[in-house]
Amino acid sequence: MPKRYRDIAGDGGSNVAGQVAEQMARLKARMAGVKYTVAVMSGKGGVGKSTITTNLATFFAMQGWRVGVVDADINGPSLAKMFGVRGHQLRLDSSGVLPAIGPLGVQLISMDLFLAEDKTPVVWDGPTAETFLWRGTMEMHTLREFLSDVQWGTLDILLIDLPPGADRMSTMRDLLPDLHGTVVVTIPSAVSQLVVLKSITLARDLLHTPVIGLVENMTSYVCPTCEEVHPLFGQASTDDMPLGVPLLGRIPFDPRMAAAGDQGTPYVLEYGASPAGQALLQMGERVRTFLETVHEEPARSPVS
Amino acid sequence: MKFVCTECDEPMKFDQNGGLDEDGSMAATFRCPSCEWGVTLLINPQETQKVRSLGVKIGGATVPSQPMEMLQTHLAKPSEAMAEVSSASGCSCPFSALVQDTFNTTPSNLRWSVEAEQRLERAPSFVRPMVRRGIEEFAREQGYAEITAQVMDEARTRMGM
Repeated sequence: MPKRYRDIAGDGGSNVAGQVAEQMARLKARMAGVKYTVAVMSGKGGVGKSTITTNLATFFAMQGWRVGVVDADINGPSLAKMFGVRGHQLRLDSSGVLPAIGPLGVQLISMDLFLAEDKTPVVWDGPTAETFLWRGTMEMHTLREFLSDVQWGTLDILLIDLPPGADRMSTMRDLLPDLHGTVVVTIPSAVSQLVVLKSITLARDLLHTPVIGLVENMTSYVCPTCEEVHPLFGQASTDDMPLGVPLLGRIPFDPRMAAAGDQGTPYVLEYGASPAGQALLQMGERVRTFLETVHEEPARSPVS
Repeated sequence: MKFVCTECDEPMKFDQNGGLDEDGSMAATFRCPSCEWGVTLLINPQETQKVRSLGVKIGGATVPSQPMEMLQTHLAKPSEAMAEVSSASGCSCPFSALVQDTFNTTPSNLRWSVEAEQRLERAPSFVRPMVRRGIEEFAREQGYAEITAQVMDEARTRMGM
């Protein structure tokens, strides 16, 4: 009987498996300097996931943690703008690329830093037809390079802001099998919650990634005149959903949050005392408690 | 993907990279180590790109990949900031504009021998496209159909390197 695939060791000289193993070894070596890796994900787009990531990163930086952020939204990067580092001059040497440095020393890598102009989309050098065959793979390996080829140094936490949809969570699990947790963001609408339920099931039950909890964003609106709190999306609270994960916070809508993102200043730095600021800081505390409780790592002193 | 010589029942070994065609398709030849029977794998542009997008090299890598190699070499319109990467010594790369041009050049139909490809791989990733282009221009001028280590040596002498 002629030989079959598994009968032959190697692949005739290319050693593709060995090349991929070398990539993964490099990734693992880089991540050895990172204490916690946490992904921020959602089911639907437009729920404020990047805003949550920005403010979560800033919360940890305020606690004196060394913080890195990966903007994993390859085609719609927004975090360079939200951290005020667009136009940052990237530097590369034999150890890797140096990340951009945002407020409170938060380190960031984003596709936005690699694109020529504001209007430049992500276009790969390759055949223009049937790009669906390889584009996803290219994006996954870009994410791998963001993790393995950036000089992160020693970090207390690396936050990964995933694009909308559940598919990238599978990619993250392949790249970072020891992911310490996932923060899931939704808004109080039945449509968003229906999708987020699928994301939680995928992350927790199929990929076996710890889900730290759920953030319900844009829950309510604080009237700037009378400071009364009104619901923004009706009454589709996550209380009614069979999610089975802790609630990390309900974040009220504040128009200044969008303005802060546009100006590149994390909201909690300017408005930490506001109802939304307090909710974001409490969310951060809960994430920190989860990490330190589950993974038993000591806390750092807050920045004075 | 593996190949077996049906006569000898021996796994075939990678023999020669036939180079990229203008449309992005490529050829790679495998040969039986026992009877030397050869087979050339013809890969369509999408399949070629799929392999490139894995960040691996057909025929094997002789040196570890450079940091951000895939992003640097495959992003069609990188920022100037990315093109003007610094060397380990902190010097600005003098070839950035040429590299930028080379990102969008069409692939040649010249064949590269395995040895020549391996020698090219020893060059830093950010100057590799420029070196490749220079050698291919020289080979075309001389009427060579294949780039070998000897052709590379001739090109280097001509360029005064």
